[in-house]
Amino acid sequence: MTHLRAHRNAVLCLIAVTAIAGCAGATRGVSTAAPASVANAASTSTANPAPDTSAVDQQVSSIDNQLSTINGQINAANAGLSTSEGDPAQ
Amino acid sequence: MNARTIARGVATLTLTAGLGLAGSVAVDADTPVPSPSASASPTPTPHLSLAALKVRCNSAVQRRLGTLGADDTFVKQSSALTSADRTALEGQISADQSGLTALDGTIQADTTFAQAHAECELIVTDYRVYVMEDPKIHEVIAADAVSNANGTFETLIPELQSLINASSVSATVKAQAQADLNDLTSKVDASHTSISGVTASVINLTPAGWPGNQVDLKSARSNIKTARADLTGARADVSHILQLLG
Repeated sequence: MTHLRAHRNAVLCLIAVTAIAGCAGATRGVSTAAPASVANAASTSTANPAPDTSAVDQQVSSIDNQLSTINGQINAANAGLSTSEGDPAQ
Repeated sequence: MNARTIARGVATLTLTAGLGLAGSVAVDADTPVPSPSASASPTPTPHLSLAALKVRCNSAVQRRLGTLGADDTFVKQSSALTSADRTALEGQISADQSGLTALDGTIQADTTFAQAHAECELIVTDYRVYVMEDPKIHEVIAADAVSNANGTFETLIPELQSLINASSVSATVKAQAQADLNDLTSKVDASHTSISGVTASVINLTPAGWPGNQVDLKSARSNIKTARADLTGARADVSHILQLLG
């Protein structure tokens, strides 16, 4: 009887060890699959440094200001070019 | 054709002529718009006293000094101007200001109507503040701003290329973004071509060259407008690229 119980415990222990090993493998599989895109991004960023989007925003803002200046100055020049001096002596 | 039809025709012609005249605004608007021959006429206005003429001349000088003062502020404060262009324009404005002030002093000291009348005409012919100096200053600032914008785009183009290269969008979307960037680049190139030589073509224009140099001012304006259209298109490309890349 004691021998039988020992045998049963050994079988249960084997099942438990197998289950734990299976769970660990599955977990490792998930963790390997999940960061694939991150790994790709990391390798991309190593080959081609990540662009600084704040620098892009700054350039775009500067261009908007320059276009605004151009518009204002063209309008002012237009006003002059459609004017006549008049003649204060007349 | 009855009398009503004729009257309507006359009214239409009158309105059309009026609108045509209104398109060209005389700055010294208290006097009729002069024709070139009228402004060159040496005949003094008979109904005006010497004192009244001096008041008119002083008023004309003060208005021009006001415009030049505002232009000087623009020139000093503009971040678009190159250092050389700023120096050149400031020198021209300063020369005009001192010249007009001295001329006003001379006119106010004149003792005959004919003298004052002849010198009063120099306020227009020796300075051309409204039709030449003022638009010239604005055109130079605009042209320099176009050059600055071209330079900023040139900095931006490789940054956008990096964004496209590093983007995880689909190949189709990436190709669209690349096409926009190519279009942007060609527009900036076109802007370069349009603005090349524009500042140099107007910055040294003088009243002595009037009215011939009006052609240069109009040509410069046209080139600046063309460059502006290209830059506006390039700016739209930037927006589209950023939108595609998310």
